[in-house]
Amino acid sequence: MNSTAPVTIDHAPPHAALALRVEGLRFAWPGQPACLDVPRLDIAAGDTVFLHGPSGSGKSTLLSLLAGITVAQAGTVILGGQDLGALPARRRDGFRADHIGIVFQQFNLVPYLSARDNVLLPCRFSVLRMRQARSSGASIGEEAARLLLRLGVAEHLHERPAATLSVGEQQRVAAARALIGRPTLLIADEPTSALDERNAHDFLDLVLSECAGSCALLMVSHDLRLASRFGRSVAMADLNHMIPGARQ
Amino acid sequence: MTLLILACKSAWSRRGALSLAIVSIMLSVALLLTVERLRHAAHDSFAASLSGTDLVVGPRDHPLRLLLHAVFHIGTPDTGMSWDSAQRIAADPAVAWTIPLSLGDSHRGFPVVATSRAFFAHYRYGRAQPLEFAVGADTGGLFRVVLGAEVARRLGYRTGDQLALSHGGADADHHPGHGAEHGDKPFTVAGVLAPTGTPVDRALYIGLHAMEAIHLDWHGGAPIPGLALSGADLRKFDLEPKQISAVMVGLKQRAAVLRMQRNLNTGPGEALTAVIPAVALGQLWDLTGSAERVLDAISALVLAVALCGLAAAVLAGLNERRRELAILRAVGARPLHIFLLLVCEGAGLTLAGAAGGFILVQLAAVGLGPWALAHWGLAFDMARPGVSELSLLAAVASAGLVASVIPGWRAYRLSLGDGLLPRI
Repeated sequence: MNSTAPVTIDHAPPHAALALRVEGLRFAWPGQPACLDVPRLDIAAGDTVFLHGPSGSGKSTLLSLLAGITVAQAGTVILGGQDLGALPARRRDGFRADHIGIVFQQFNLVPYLSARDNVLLPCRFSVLRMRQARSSGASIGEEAARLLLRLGVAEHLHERPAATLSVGEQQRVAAARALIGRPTLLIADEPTSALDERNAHDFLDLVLSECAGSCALLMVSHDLRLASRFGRSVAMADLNHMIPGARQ
Repeated sequence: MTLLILACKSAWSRRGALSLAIVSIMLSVALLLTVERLRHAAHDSFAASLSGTDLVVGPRDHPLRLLLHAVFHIGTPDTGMSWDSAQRIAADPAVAWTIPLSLGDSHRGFPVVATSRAFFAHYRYGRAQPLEFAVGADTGGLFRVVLGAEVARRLGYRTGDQLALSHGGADADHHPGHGAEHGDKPFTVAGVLAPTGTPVDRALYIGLHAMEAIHLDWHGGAPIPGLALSGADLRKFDLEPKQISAVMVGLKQRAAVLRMQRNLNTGPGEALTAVIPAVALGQLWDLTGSAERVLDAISALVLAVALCGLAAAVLAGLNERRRELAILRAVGARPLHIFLLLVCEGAGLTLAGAAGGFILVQLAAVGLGPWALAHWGLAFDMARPGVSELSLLAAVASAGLVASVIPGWRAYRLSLGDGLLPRI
């Protein structure tokens, strides 16, 4: 294995500002052999990246590391110019709130909060996100309503408790929450897998158009049919050298 | 602020499960407060029964027994004190007034107290309040009786009614074979006292001469056969009492009380016991103190069980909430936030339970207070929760805070270990 000479799989223009840079990242869950070895991953600002691979290839672990919720044993994660590993835990949580939006596969929402309150959550934990949400001159409530409408959540649903929304509606609310206040990076972990094909395509259209130009998107999915919509596509097998049979 | 709103909304969404925990805290706090209030009410009502009386003097006996008998009409002493001693005390230059008391007879379960008119003039209760007549007055005739408020209410007597006293203590009524009646010498109700919330309400008052008179033709606790004196005959006899039960003494100078007490206890002549009421009551609280501590311990245990129930309820909900907590982490909440969220919830529930328990006791006291005063002579002071109650509530709140740290800590550990996706 040759981890000192990382394989560059970054096709982004070299002059673009980087949203994310991963270098020499190695990780093992406590008491287990290393499951992740990512020599390099760069995502430029405004880039859209489709990451695919079978289950067990380390996708979720990688996302945890990128979000700064888990810390790698070796290597660096640089988000918007800041090395996450160099931050103490509480600053890392604050940094995540400021710069990362996350959409999960399902059960994204706090069930007892309304759709609007769910969207506003990042503004409650991050002053930066709140300020940026207000930058259009609107209040954060108006910005939440605007995003929800943009993502196709009708106004009469905004005050409904999240638990009463359909799965499709919940995913749209989750996307609006991840996008509010223009984070640097939007991480989406199989956000369409609970949706039917038509809903999945609509959802993706909306997220991609809302992301365009403002934040980088890293989406994980096993559904290769979606790959063509992204700026580029990366296979976990190419990224993670710990996967058996991975390309060296 | 955000955390508080989140905690409230989260708790509200699980109100079904949590309301049980609140109710159990509420009930245990109510129990704790009730024990505390009953204790205070009991202490206060005992202490309020006698005011301004410096000494209670009676035959040589245990001070507490003497006080309980003379003031609270509890128990029956073996002997009395001589009338001569009582008069000697009354004549002492340091003494302002004396109230002689002679007990032993009863009327339908209520004790009969034979006394002088000094009783109505000098007896004080509560905050030095004098006795007042609700109806009638102390007319002073031989076979006149004044009723305590409760006696009149329970037995339905009015002024002018006639009643017969029973020989012997209050329980004579329940043994018709033993209870001999002074039926040949009926008493006329001269007046009814206003309610005082003290044992005064539960007794009948006659003159010392009347007490002598009804026992003239008696010997050894039974009527002397063939000797029945009419009211007119009685006036020919010397109706000065030979023996009485006790004397209440008011001094001119309060400062003289200790010297006076020592003189009476150790002086020559008849063996007497002089009691300072507050000191004897203190002995009573010492006696009942261990029982009170057991009650306290039981209420504290009940509260501990309720708080464990609270911690268990919050902990049990935690597993279903791992997803929710992971979402909060993903949008930027720190593990400390998660910890505080859970602690806020537990503390909030405890506060709600404590407030509910307090309101429950307050409502019960307002609703049942008059009843408790009428039936047990316990006066609940509703206006203000005492300092001891406030510190109890503060102790409950801090115990709740400590109990909430357990689920808070568990959530903290979970949120650190779960990462973005809890493996449920």
